[in-house]
Amino acid sequence: MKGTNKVAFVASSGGHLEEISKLKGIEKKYDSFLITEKSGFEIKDFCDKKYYVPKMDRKQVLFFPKFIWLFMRAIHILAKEKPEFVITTGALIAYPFCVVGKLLGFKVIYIESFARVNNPSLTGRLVYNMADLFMVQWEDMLENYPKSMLGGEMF
Amino acid sequence: MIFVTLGTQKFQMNRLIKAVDDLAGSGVIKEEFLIQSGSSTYKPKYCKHIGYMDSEEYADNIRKCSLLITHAGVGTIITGIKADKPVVVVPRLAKFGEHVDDHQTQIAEAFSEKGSVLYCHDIEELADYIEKARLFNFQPYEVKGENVEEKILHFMEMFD
Repeated sequence: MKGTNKVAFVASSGGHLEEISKLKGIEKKYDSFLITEKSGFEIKDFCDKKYYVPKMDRKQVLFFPKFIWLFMRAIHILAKEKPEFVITTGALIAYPFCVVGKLLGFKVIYIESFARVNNPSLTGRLVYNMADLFMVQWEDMLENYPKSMLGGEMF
Repeated sequence: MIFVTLGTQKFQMNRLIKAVDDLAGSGVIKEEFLIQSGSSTYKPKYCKHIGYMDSEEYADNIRKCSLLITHAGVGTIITGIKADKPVVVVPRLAKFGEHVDDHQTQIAEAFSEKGSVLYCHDIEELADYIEKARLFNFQPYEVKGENVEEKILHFMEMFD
């Protein structure tokens, strides 16, 4: 029997997606869906329901209009699905989903990527103050994020 | 087979492909290379290459290779270490347009400090790193026992 709560997982392609897919127990327990980027990289056994957004990074041309579009997409998806939790490992595509999720009253859980050893990611810094739970995987990161919780390694 | 992989980053890493292709072309390294080139645009002349492969084929190539050369992607590095392969890591650098920043150097540093990978600081010396990796006594990587998922579940259960 699945829990009554619903979970939106958000992760960009590659390592972020690989990391979030380690949260199998949460995915199994709750009614879950995934928002990720279109790419050649697929995780087959994580979330049957998926939403895709275009690949995005802050150095690309037309980043700003694309980012605004992503906010619209985040409003659309989250208002429709109404998850209780938004769980993300970043990267930047997660930001609109955290902001919109927070505004809609959902709980935001952010996990700073294992790939961040000494200094925080841009997305991590942006989400830090709004997250209801902020996890890090390296002890040194507690200095950057004093209110975070150390979770150990996900891999 | 030496497996060279650049992960699924949207950024090119032509620098590494070219370095590997030069080693194959000049005969400095005789073993065949297979390159998973991702979004890179440089087309190697002397190596087999493929843009992306599915996760099973990817894992299979890691199992089959004699040595793994990779960008500093955590998933690939850990898979390589767990498969007991010699791993040479070349981090993506922002100055070559390979990533948004240089955080991959920290990953390479973190794993090489523990002796689990060799961190190639200078791509000109890639052949030396390959030779060194053949003899190097790689250390297994110990994953720390705490559990991210349990802590998150605990938090979530407060709202059930």
